Amino acid sequence: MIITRRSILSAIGAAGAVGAIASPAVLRAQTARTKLVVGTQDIGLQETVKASGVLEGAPFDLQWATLPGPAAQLSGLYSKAIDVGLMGDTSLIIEQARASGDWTEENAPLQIVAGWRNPDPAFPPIITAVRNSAKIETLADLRGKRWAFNFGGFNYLQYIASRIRAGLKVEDIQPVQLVDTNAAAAAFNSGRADVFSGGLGPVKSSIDKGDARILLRSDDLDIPSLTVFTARGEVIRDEAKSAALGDFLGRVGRHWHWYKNNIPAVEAIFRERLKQTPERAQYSAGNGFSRFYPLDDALVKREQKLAEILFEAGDIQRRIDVSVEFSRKFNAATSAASNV
Amino acid sequence: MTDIAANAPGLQARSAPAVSGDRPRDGGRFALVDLSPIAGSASRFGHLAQWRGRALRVGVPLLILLAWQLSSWLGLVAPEVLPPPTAIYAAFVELIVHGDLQEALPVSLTRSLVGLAIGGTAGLLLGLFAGLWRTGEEIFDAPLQMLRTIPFIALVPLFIVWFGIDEFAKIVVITAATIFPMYLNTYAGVRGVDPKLIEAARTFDLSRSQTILHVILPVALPSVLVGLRYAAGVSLLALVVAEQINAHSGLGYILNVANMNQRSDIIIVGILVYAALGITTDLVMRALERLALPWRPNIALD
Repeated sequence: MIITRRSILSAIGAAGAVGAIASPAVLRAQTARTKLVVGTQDIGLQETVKASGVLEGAPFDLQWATLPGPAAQLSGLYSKAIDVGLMGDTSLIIEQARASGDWTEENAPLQIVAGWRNPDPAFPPIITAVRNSAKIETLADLRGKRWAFNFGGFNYLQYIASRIRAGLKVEDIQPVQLVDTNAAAAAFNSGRADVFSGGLGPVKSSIDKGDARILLRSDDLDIPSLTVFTARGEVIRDEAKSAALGDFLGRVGRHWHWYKNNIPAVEAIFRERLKQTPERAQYSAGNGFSRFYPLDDALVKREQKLAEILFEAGDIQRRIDVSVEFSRKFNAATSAASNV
Repeated sequence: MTDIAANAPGLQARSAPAVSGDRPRDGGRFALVDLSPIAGSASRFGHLAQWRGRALRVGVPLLILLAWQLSSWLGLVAPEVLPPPTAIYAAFVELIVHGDLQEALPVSLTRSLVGLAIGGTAGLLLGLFAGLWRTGEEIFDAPLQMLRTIPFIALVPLFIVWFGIDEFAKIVVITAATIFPMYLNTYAGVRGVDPKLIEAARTFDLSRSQTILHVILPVALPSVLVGLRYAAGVSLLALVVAEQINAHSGLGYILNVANMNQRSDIIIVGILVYAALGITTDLVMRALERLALPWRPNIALD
């Protein structure tokens, strides 16, 4: 074999090309997959989605993040630590009202991209419950009672809307504002409060034992009480992230079909991974089954009414247009998943 | 002390350095008496006192446990208010069977130790700096005293914004919590050194660095170790806050999940695990103190 200058240069060129192809940057570019960081407030949804197997073959990388409470979810979103956060449908009403500037469709830092709840009326998302020992027969009997609730989200709206429905002002009752719904439920369950507004799950044991009963459901007060995924505006506008988000939402929607047919497995998850009592796990498994609801004009109209209630109650300082909080970009993905 | 030793020939002096200007009245003979148990002065009464102390340490918790169970059996306390020890035991078994505790302990202890190591070292250095040099005090003391009063549990959302949601944020929370006890005790220990000892060091012509090394630091060491002991406890407590940030295991995580699901039996198991860790930490720290401070009298009133 004769070694010529041309053959040496060709060899160097070939080696360079191979090196370039194999270089980390190029390899990264070739194998780059969109990563979606999704926050939830506990591991319930994460575990049922994983167990359902709907994530198999997903064309994006999913990272779950558990951040208890809407405040931590919002912090995660604003700091860009997460792309999508889980909260109640009213969280953004308060968030928008507190913002220094006006939110528009173009500049909204956060938007709700999907909302869901259990369609079965037997599982009301939010309730106002009363202890039987408090002798509350009618709404008027709520006057003067110790009323436990937590600020923010639809629990708080349930409290305000229930109080307004009863024709009472704050000074007509003894408000017991606690840090979260669990603390409020603990006060109610132990008899330290007569009335409770919040989720049914935490006070179900008192109701089952006959110590308490439901006075008002969120549906009675026209509160949609959807659990929602909120995404950062940048995520919604980013083509790759947006496609991954749409795919992810479709998979979450499909996972509820698995969920419905595997209630014992779901119960086991709630019992073993979330440390719920068998009774509570049974309730949570039934309650957790959900379906997506379209983010449409009808929903926006109902949410706008909630914003007005909060404004009238003095909890938000200005009137806002809630329609900018909803991105309808993913309605097709969520409705397709719900119709499977 | 000199007189006692002089009048008790049976007591052997461990050291008898003469200090100028402190001449003993017996013409030069004097002795120091170490009253600590390791000096070998434990008597029959000392043994009895030791056993009584141990019995009290074990007996009091057992009595509380008994009263607790009895109150449940007699229906004096509802299980929702305070679950009986049997329910707590069942919850403990549940955590063991599912492997939660076995998974949580190494994870939490690692977080706690890393945070303690960083925060403890930072607190020690800052305490020494502020204690030894006026400039250090002027720079660090006021800001640290202000930061000390910040309720860290309220800062979780801000910590997420500043430090993200990964392991780093959890370690920062624990580090921040452990700096202050270490700083305060080190600072107090250094500032609490008897001026007479400094004066004595000057009399012996010790340089500034020798005075720090041979006088100030040994005298401040008991206070530094109290700071370490306190910081070790705080590092465990801080887990409850730290493990609210995207944790999937750990003692704080177990407590947070139990709290979310009203499992008071698991919360009490968590408290008991914390208590066990607290006692273990305390024992380790006491052993460390004995090793580091062999000269220190260990006096307690009977």
